[in-house]
Amino acid sequence: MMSVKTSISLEFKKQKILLASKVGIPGSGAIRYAAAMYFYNHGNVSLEMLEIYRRCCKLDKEDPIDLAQFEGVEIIPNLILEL
Amino acid sequence: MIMTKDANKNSPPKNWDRSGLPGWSYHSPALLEMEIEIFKTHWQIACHISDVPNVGDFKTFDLCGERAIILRDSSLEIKAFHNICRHRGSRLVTKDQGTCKNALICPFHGWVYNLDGTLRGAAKPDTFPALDKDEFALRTVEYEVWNGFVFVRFKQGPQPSVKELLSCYEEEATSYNISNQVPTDGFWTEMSPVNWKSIRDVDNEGYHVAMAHPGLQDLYGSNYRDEPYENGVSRSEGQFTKSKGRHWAVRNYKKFSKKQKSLPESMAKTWVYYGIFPNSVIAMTPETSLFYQEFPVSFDESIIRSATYRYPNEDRQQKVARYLASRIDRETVVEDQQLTIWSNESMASDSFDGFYLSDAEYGVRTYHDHLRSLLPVYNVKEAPKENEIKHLNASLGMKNI
Repeated sequence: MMSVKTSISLEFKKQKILLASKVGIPGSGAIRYAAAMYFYNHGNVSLEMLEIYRRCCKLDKEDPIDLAQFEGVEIIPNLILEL
Repeated sequence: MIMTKDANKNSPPKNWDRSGLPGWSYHSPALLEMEIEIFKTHWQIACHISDVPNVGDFKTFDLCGERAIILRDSSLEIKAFHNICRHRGSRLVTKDQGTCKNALICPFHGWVYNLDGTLRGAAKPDTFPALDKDEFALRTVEYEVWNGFVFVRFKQGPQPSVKELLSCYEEEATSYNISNQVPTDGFWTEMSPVNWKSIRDVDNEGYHVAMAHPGLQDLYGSNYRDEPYENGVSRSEGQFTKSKGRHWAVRNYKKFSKKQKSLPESMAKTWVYYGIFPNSVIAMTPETSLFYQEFPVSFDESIIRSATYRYPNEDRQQKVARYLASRIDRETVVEDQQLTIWSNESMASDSFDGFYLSDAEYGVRTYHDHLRSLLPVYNVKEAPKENEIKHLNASLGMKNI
């Protein structure tokens, strides 16, 4: 049986891949926003950045990191910059 | 031989009441309000498990103001939720069918739900107090899978579990191995300008087959048998006649129809139908299974909904037979739709005294008896005032539905 720690670690990796879903793919905005919510819950995404992802939720072609930089959202955690 | 219900019970009793429901009951908005409760409190077929094969796949099912999502969660289990966000009640998924790859996201404000229904988070979470993921989880809908078909029930009601309800057909249905079937051409829905009961009245008897369905008559004709509704279910079957078939589709269907290995020889040349009160039918042929159902939109408009499934390993011959069966069935549906219009319009005429049913239409009577047992106001022959129907029904001893 998988331990809780392993399970969380696997989920973390899965959500990280989903957060990095390629911009432009149909449905990718929602996938990224859902992943951002996961990382917000774990303290890896700021409120401001979560809101950027929410705004991009239905805009599959909009890159949330571009938008954040354009709008001067300061707090972009390492997790996102690694993508 | 596969056992179903006692065949001796199929004959109607002597001197049975051959009348139908009163005409007013087909044109009453007040009655429809009470009928809608019957739909919500009885099992409804939402889809087949093969409609949601992979993680995140969903199928929606709307019924009389209620809406459900059938979803395959991360552990590949089937889940059924109300398609209602816990925030402001918006639909969570707006398409009939699709895949939520990561989570369910409300299109209104952006609340996010995990595939197991728990709340992942509210949009702009700093504007709320801490929200418990279980307390604010999606509301579940009662569901049950029977031979691959996913049944849902929006409210508790008088029916037992689906397994118990359909227990008399379990052995037969299992022999078709329909739980392993896969979709053919998706869901078919159509609006019909009639009261929902007019659709059911036509479907509940085979007396009209010889007159109205030349294709079906050519296929199974006088070998067609109806069983009456009993404890919420009925069964009909049509064994193919020995003739080669005069119609092109029937002739070739009889030629190419080929059973799956799992199916007993006795069922190899038969179409079987299970009626499930109040509005659903599961049909099985040697090549396919399908379901169809009707829901009221208003007292004079209904939605007909259907989907067909096939064996995943069908060969070329079975594929041809399935195509031919669908041609026969498609013609039958068009013919039945006209009959429902004629039947429904008769109910608005002051000059029509109501049904006078044949022994071959006993299924219509027994179906109506099921309705009468739930809403005794159906026994009132003259149209009551609309605003008095609910009270009148209560005074006649309405059961809990």
